[in-house]
Amino acid sequence: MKLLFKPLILAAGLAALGTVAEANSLRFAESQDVASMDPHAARDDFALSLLCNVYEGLVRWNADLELEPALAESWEVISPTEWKFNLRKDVTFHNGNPFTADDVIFSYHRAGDTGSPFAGLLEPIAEVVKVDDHTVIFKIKRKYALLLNDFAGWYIMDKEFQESIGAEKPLDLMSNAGGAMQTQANGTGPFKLMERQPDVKTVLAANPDWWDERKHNLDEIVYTPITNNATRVAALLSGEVDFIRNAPPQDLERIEATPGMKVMRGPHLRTIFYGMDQQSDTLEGSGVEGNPLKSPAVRQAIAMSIDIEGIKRSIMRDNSNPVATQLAPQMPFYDASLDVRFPYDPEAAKALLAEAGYAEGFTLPITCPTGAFINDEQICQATAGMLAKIGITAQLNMVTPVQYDAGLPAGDFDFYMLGWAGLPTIDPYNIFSATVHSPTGDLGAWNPNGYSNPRVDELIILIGEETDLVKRQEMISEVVKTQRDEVGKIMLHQQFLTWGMTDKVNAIVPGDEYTRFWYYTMN
Amino acid sequence: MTAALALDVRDLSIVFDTRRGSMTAVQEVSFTLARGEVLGLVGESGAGKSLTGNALIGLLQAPGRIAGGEVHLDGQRIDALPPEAQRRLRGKRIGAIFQDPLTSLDPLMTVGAQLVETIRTHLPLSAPAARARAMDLLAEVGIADPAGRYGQYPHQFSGGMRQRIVIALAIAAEPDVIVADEPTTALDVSVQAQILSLLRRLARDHGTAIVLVTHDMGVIAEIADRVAVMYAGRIVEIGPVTEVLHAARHPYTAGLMGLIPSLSRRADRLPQIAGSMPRPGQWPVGCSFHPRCPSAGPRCAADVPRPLSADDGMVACHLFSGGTLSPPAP
Amino acid sequence: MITLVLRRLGSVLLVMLVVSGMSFLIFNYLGDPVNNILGVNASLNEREELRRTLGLDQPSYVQFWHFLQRAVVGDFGISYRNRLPVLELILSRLPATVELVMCATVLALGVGIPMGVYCALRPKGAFSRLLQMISLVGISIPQFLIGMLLILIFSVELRWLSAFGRGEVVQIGWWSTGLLTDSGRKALIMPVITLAVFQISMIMRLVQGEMQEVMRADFIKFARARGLTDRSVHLRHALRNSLLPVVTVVGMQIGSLIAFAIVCEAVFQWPGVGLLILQAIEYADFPVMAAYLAMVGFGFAMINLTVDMIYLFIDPRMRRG
Ligand SMILES: Nc1ncnc2c1ncn2[C@@H]1O[C@H](COP(=O)(O)OP(=O)(O)O)[C@@H](O)[C@H]1O
Ligand SMILES: [Mg+2]
Repeated sequence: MKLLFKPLILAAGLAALGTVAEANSLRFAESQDVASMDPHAARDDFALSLLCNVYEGLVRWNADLELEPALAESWEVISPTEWKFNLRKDVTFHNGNPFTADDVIFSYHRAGDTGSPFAGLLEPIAEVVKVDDHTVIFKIKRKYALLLNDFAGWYIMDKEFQESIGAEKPLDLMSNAGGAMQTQANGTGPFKLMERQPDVKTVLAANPDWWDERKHNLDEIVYTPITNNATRVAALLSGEVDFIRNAPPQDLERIEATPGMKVMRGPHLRTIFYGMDQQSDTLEGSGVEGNPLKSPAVRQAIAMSIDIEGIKRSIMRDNSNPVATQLAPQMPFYDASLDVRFPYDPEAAKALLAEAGYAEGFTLPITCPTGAFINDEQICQATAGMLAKIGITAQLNMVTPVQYDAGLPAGDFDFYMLGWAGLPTIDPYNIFSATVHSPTGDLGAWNPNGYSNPRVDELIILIGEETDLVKRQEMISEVVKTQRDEVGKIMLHQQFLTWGMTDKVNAIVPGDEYTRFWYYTMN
Repeated sequence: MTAALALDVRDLSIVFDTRRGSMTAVQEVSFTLARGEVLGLVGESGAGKSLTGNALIGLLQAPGRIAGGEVHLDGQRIDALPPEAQRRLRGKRIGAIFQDPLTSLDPLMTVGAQLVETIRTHLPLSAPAARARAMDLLAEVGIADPAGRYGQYPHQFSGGMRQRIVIALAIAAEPDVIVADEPTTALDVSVQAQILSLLRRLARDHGTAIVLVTHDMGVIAEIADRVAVMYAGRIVEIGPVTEVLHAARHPYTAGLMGLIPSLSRRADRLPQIAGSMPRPGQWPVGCSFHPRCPSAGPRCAADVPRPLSADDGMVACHLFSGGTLSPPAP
Repeated sequence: MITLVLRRLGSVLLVMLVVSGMSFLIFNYLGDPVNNILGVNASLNEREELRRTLGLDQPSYVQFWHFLQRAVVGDFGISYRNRLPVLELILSRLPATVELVMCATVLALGVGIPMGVYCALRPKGAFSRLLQMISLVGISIPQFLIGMLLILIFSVELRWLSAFGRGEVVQIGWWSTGLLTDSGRKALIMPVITLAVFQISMIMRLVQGEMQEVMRADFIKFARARGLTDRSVHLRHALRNSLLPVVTVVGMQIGSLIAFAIVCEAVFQWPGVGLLILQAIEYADFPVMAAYLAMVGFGFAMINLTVDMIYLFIDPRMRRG
């Protein structure tokens, strides 16, 4: 009996192995799980960077971060405040429902109504009018340049499906409206949700009915959150996963040294800088009268005290690119002629400080997040050391990312590290409106008490409206230059993305960190 | 001859192995015990009585060990048996009772369970039979309502009752010899007498021989047939209880008994004899008692007196080395 | 006994009240979830609006009062992160943690007690000394390190065990268990060892100390005098009497194991309440944190009650009558 069965079982096992080997399964680990399968539940780039494989917008970013048609085939600007979109006709949702204008209007209301996290994103839209099943007109409140950019981050959901599961609204934290979207998803994207155990495992499978030409060869994506960095790396090294995004910097060498493993690198759109209070009349705890940070000379002195090449070498291990402005070279409208840093020159910096009346230096409280940016703590510590050389005593205040996220916009910090990538808009307007414009109700949320210049504020509004590319470039360059010359921020560097994976995986590493699996292949 | 003896101890010596070498605590102790006989082992605290008792039941604790001599139980030598064989004798053929009944019983187990456990360790009885025997034992040691008390825990009994239970445990397998080490010292005077008469009855009814370790002369007077007096690790005198009490030969025994009329006094301190008993390792040369002895002569400080057997006893004192066993002049 | 239980339940409520009340005070310093929900691009107005909706603009005691009003009817709110009712969420993660902690406790007792007994009986033996040395190491190595070491050896080098997760689990009603599948049992090995190492050492030392003490007791000598076998003297009498303090400590340890489990769960991506609370802290998911803390208070009190019950069971002297 036993003897007879053994070969059979073996054969069955081999057959099973065979089918597994044939299917290309990309096992992917990340530090956290997406909170929900609802693409409207949180304006969270992390969630969207995965959900972009399940849901799609009217337009999308391609591998080179250029906008291309997605669920909209084409569009035309009928008037400065009226955009007509022709919807793709051959698209079905994963459950087989056809994609129509009703779904676009439904998704507009779902994401854009008051109370939804996406209300701000869709705020410029006044109304969506259905022309026919495959044509809609967006009426916008004012001239607006970034409608398409915004649409790339707004995903279309199936009206009928959402109504059938009682999830017409994305987010109601006071009742249980979002629960249904925890384990269900019905999009039009290249992958569809097969299985989901929140915080444990999410399995996607290739959508055979996808409207677009299939360039990837993945059959399945198994996504596992692994919170602990060391464990995640161990899972990659042990062959339990094929791909980890954002490999911890200290493990890069180990991964690269392991046979069959590689690290793919790419420039991130995010640039890292110090922002600071330039408005208050005093700088608490500085030990000097007044607020030294109000003086551009002092800010320039601080900028000149930072040895950014040293940071790149010893802290970033060459995985960074020093920048002089907030626009990363990969950002549209980047102007290389402006990307010139103040020289690193502690002596000159000291002289500048003396000129500004701070020959004796002062104490500078620096607030630093722990784990929001690559090596943030070490960079802050290095900065403290460098500031000491020009007579400024840094007082480091380390905060967790959530404390930081809450405290920074509230204006709790006087001098802080910040990074901004301009996502999901991928346009300088996003960076300017959030971190350069003077704080008002809708703008400048991440520039509390910060850099403020009326001319720059005016330009930023115009940049948001201007559709003419040449005029936009001029205005953008003016903002960049003005802020640089007035030392509105103290710039550090652009981060590099470092993704660890097995040699089998061919990935693309775009500057916005999105995992666009429809460009991936496995050998 | 020896076969008739319940217990025959010959030249038993106990030493402690310490880092500074070995130290003798009991030396050349010999005595015999007939069936049903009660031998009182008296002496001041620290004389070596408990050590001797422990050695008899094979429970000398390291670093103490038997360094010489033999112990025969019903004619069989038991001190050299392997530990497991000794274990099997304990409780079955030689039992023990200790001083403090409050701490002798396992607080977490019913008295019934402890009895049954002991019975079934030694006797091939079924659980119900062992249970019945346990009840009988409880009745025998004078526990009223054995059935009701069977399932109770030690803390539910008074001190005297607990000592009765201890005795029941000791006789559970009908041993031939029981070593009772100060069995009444921790009890109220009124209860002491009851326990003693219980022991006496056991010796009579079951023929159990009892070694009763005590420093209480009253106890000896009450139940012992014979008395062995220990001083500094040696037995200095053995004799029938009436003789030893009333006509002690050894000056130490005399000091212990003769000088005070009341028999219920305690012998743990001898204010009437100056000085105190030396600890092991500090024994003087010659007779250990000579520094305190009112009759000591030059020989006493030089030689250890050899034990002299009399018809019904023994004494080890130079006063008698002439051969006569008449009591010394006071 | 009923009064004991009632009194205990009263103190349980009090503990839960105090713990969750304090948690609301702490929340103010932990940051807020607004950024996680609305994203970095939200305007100041949107942020304020959401804070109002969530009641985060209210003083702590008002938030606490609202929490209590809803908690009384079993409504602990909705998780900001998972968007599920908090109670449901915690209950769905509880089996993983309970299974981990229980297995670790069983392992700790199963290994720690025999080791302790062995060392108590042969305190000078070479093997005892080895065990004592190992236990010293076990007490001083941080759990995180043990976990990583195991992963490096058994996952990365030998590739025998999975570095993360629970394997396949079987759902039995609302409970989920990994004990019924091969991969589930294998997944338990490293986390359970990691969690148990400290406990094993603890229990071993405790049992050894207590038992050496008890071995000197009169009733042990008398048990020997009764001729009981070594086995019976050591296990039935000495060990049992040594276990009372062990029960107390183990009870308290189970409580701290649930807390320790946070580290272990993070290392092995064990999907239990520890990992949940860790992520909740990172997200400033206050409803989950408040409910978790109340639950931990409840758990500790329940464990205390159980310990008392076990005491009653083991020690007749504690019983009345
Ligand atoms: N473990 C031990 N180590 C060293 N000396 C001991 C030990 N146990 C007992 N002794 C000594 O042996 C002597 C006899 O003790 P013991 O037999 O208990 O006296 P008692 O006659 O009062 O029962 C005492 O002096 C005591 O100090
Ligand atoms: Mg004694």
